[in-house]
Amino acid sequence: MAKSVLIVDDSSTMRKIVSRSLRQAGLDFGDIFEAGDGQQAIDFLADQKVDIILSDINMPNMNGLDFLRAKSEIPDIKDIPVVIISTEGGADIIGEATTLGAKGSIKKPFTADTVEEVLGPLL
Amino acid sequence: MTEPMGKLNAAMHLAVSDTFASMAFMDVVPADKATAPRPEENLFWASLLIHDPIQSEIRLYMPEELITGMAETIYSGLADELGEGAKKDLIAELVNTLVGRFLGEILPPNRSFQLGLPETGLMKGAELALFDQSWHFVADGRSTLILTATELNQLQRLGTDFVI
Repeated sequence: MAKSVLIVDDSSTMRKIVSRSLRQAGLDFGDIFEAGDGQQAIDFLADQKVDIILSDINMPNMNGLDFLRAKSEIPDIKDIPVVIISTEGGADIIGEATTLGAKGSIKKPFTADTVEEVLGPLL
Repeated sequence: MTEPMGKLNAAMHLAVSDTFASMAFMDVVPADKATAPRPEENLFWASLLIHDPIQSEIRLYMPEELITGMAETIYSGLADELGEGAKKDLIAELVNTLVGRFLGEILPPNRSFQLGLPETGLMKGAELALFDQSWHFVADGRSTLILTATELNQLQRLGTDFVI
């Protein structure tokens, strides 16, 4: 059965690039949804569930780390896996995201092969 | 042993080529700044501040035609429907990604860094003024894009084996 995904990024360009990479990765994705920041993602997930979430870290309104914190407090969505896609440098940022529940990370720039390697085991 | 400026140039070249190849399937190669054509038409620009571990500003300049072509690739042929905002978003994402890639290449492993949020704009090529450090590139064999940076000599104080 095709999986659904939510892409969370304030850049419409990056949402399109991630969406393209998901299609090219050869994974079985059906619906690909988009949100412009963490709060939009939380609001979206109140009505629509997805199988996996890809999120940037550096976003206005609610950044990726705050999104992870907020998501972990909501029983209906706390177990949806989140993969961070970011330029944010250093193991400390990714480490904090992992502590907050992220299941993996992809560093920009990335290829479809990288997307497949990280997401495949989580689906 | 590779000279310091050689390492810095190599890191920037790699960051730019990787970023444009991954994001837009575009081949971007270094150009000789002495002979590369200076862009005269409208330029989109994006500026990004590095806050840590050094304080620097990096700017990316791209001809409007080149940005539009990239948008066609990314937005699957809908570029004509995209306004200036979407093109500014594109160049902002490019500079954010390539600077992150550049710092990841030159800093020691696991050394974190902090970036600001990109600022963008549109200008005439004739108004272009470069910082101390600049690199010229040619995209897909036809368009010149330019990167320029300030204060990269601050890398000296990081105590890495990378010294300018």
